[in-house]
Amino acid sequence: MSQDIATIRVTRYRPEKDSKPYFQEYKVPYRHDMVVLDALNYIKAEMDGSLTYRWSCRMGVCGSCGANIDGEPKLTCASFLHDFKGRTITVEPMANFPVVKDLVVDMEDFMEKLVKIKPWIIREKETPPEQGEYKQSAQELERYSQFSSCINCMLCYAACPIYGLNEKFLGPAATALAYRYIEDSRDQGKDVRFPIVHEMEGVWECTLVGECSVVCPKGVDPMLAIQKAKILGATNAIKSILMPRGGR
Amino acid sequence: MEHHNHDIVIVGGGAAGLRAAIAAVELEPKLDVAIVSKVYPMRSHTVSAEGGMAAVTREYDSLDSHAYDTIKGSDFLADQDSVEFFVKEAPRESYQLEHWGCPFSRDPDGRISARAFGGMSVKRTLFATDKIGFHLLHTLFQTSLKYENIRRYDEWFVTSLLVDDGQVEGVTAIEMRTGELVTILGKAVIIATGGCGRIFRFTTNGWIKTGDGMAIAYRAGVPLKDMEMVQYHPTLLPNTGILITEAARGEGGHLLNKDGERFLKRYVPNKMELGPRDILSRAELSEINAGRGFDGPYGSYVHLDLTHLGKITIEDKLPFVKELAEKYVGIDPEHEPIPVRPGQHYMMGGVHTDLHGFTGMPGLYAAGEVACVTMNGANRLGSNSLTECLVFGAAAGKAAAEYALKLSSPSFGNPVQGEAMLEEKRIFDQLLKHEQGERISSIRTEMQEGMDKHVGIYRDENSLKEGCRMIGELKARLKNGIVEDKDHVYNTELVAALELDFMLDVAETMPYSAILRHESRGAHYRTDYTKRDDASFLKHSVAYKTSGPPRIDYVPVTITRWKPEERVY
Amino acid sequence: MGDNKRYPELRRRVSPGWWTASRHYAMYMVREWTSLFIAVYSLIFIYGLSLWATVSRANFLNFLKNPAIIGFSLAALVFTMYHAVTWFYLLGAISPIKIGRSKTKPWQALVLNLVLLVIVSYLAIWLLILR
Repeated sequence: MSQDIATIRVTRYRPEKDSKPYFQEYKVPYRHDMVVLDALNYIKAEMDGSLTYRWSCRMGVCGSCGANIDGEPKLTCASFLHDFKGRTITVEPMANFPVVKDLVVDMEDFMEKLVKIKPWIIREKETPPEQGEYKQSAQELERYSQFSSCINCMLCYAACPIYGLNEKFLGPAATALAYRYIEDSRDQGKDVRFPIVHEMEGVWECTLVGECSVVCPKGVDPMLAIQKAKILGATNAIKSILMPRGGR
Repeated sequence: MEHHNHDIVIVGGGAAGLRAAIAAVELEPKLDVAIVSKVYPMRSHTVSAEGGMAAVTREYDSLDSHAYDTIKGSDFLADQDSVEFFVKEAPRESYQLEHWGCPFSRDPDGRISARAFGGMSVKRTLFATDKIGFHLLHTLFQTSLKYENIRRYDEWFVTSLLVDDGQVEGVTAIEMRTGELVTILGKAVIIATGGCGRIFRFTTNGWIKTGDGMAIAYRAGVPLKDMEMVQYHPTLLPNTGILITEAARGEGGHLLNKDGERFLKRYVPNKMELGPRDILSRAELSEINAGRGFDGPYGSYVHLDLTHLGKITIEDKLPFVKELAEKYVGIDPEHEPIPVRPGQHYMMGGVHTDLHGFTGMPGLYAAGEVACVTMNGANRLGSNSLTECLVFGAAAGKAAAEYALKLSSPSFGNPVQGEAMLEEKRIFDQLLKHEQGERISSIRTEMQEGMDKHVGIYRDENSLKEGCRMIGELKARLKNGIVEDKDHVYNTELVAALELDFMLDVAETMPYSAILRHESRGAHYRTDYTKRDDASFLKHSVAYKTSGPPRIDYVPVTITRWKPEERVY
Repeated sequence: MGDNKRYPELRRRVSPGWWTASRHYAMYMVREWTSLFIAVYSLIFIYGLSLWATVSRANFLNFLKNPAIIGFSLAALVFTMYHAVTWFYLLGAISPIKIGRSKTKPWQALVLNLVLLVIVSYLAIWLLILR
């Protein structure tokens, strides 16, 4: 008769009622192929309808469901209960973000950074679409395709202590996206994006903690993008000193 | 009550909504366009599409071929003028998306790669490995950030359309962050909220696909067309319902039954695994019912075998499929077949529009999965939907822009203000205030399981009757439902209750439309009327809201050049 | 859009002990502290070299044989190796070399650079001490 039970400790914070967050424990029936999101959905459906969290696609591509699970930034839809030691799991809102309610964090800072890096193709001359596509080789695609896989889940910001200490830091995802456009052969906006990426709170705040790339669920490797951007910035600076009038 | 004013208000921030917004501001840069979405746009369900988007780009292809494939795929229920418009605009939209930066996979000559897909007679499905929806959505969203005149209301939940004297004036929406109901006025409104897959329990759709846009248009008096046409996709992972793209079959995957047989040779001997989705889903169920399926803890299933495709094909063209299979069923598709079964995926039916996205109600437009133009008829071909969002999103955006330029701004006086105040009462004084009653989740689960059972892949008079009765009962029970979360700030339970209210309204149109269609056509299959009946039913059903059950009427199908014929693959 | 002044979001401060939360963070801080150590070591070694320039080579070698300096140098060696390993691995990740369909892996760059390091170190030791 004994059914397998998992204990989920969730952060609760209701701004209209609570002055500070607290933990609430729920006991959920455990199945070996459950993910943390299944547990949260069970709690909300069967036990406590006020539990508040974001989710949508449940397959790791929409980026809604980030949380700190047992201290580590993870997607709740991609975190299997059987991967955690024991049957007690602690779920908190993503670190380094202000909390709106329960597990929901405020995302406005990232949305502003997204606009700041101008994430669109910038070209001097556009040819009309009727004339067909801009040709791009598989090699040219490979130079940036890894960095185009970012689902904007922001686990990397939750993992970055530099961002935690300084909200002005451009951060992993935004830099990786800026680099994605810089390296896209169809884009000609290097001169526009370089100053943004290479300002004080741009890539130079990064001190190689490397945790962003560890937690990224899509293999974007934002730390790599930041270091590559640093090299681009450095070589660009040297070039502009040695060849002030030209040479790209 | 707080109110805002814009030229165009777009409800929904997925592919169709974003494309409409860009089209409107490109037509007239002075236009002020608002996108109101209940999630941040990059969470829209467009993101989960995998296989590709179809368009004629090659010399071996032709517009007529794409059109014929689509019309035959629709079991001849498609309006052929809209299909002709669609295939003509599709190539330009694809190249425009590429110009905006979409990272398509490339051929050695640098052109966008094309793959085979179900029901398509030649390779015309353009792809980006197997994550086209993700790349398309992010490309559109990031491009939309270029335009200062596109203002976004992120995480605002639209609750109703405001209509004055038969003309649309705007919407009411709850700002999730504060819980306040706000009026957003617009000269034109474009609905782009997607489908309603969460009406069913076993679906590929994400949590947010609750038919919001269909419901608000339906309640405002616009009919919902062809609601009995629900697409079931043949390859979902059991239990989770996660989609395994048709591209897996496009690249050469096989469907096998318990005996290791490619059973489709008995159903679609010419196209085999690239047959249309409705026929394949029924074929799988037939095999399972005949005892030739596998049994699992989450129901019976068949095998999708990719083991013969080779490491390079899977890594280059189907990496996401590999990731999903390994993660959610613990299978490496290079070495083992993937368990799959059919489930709900797409709504062919929806808000009735013409080929410019116009619903018939002045100022109201719709585009994308929410709309029924219809170019998909009784069955949609895979990879047509993303192109549909772009083509008709752009068309609706342009039509709404031209309309808005001719009008002056609506004002926030009566009767619109009165309507908005009534809406506020309905939500906060009635729905939110119940202190006891039935939980939202239990009503919702019953609806989902009931719809799967009674309005599923195989239907008959009795099951549809039961579907009609069940929805009526659930609607009555929801009136006594309780919202446990009484907060104003970010109340997801209140939103869930409003979504369930929408879903029940939309769900009701399905069995009522289906029970009157005494034939089998496309995805609508009746075991008591197994043949297609063009003489009586070559027409679209339209469902109108009444104070009782929906009133079903009919409108004719537009035939231009392709006479309906027998549909064999 | 919409600025809620009645219920502002909860801002959480990062505590000074943030780096104790995981092994990754702790190792990162250790790496950062060791750079201080290496900086101090460099100054000491420069002082030693100045002894060779101003007094004699024998004086420099005696300085090196001092047990305190030996201990300090060993510690510096360990810390420098920790940095070198991190750095070489990172170089391999940033600039992999393409061979056919695959790319070189970071650990391969690490091994290659460590071999180069051994060779260069031997040359330096031979130049300064053994010759």
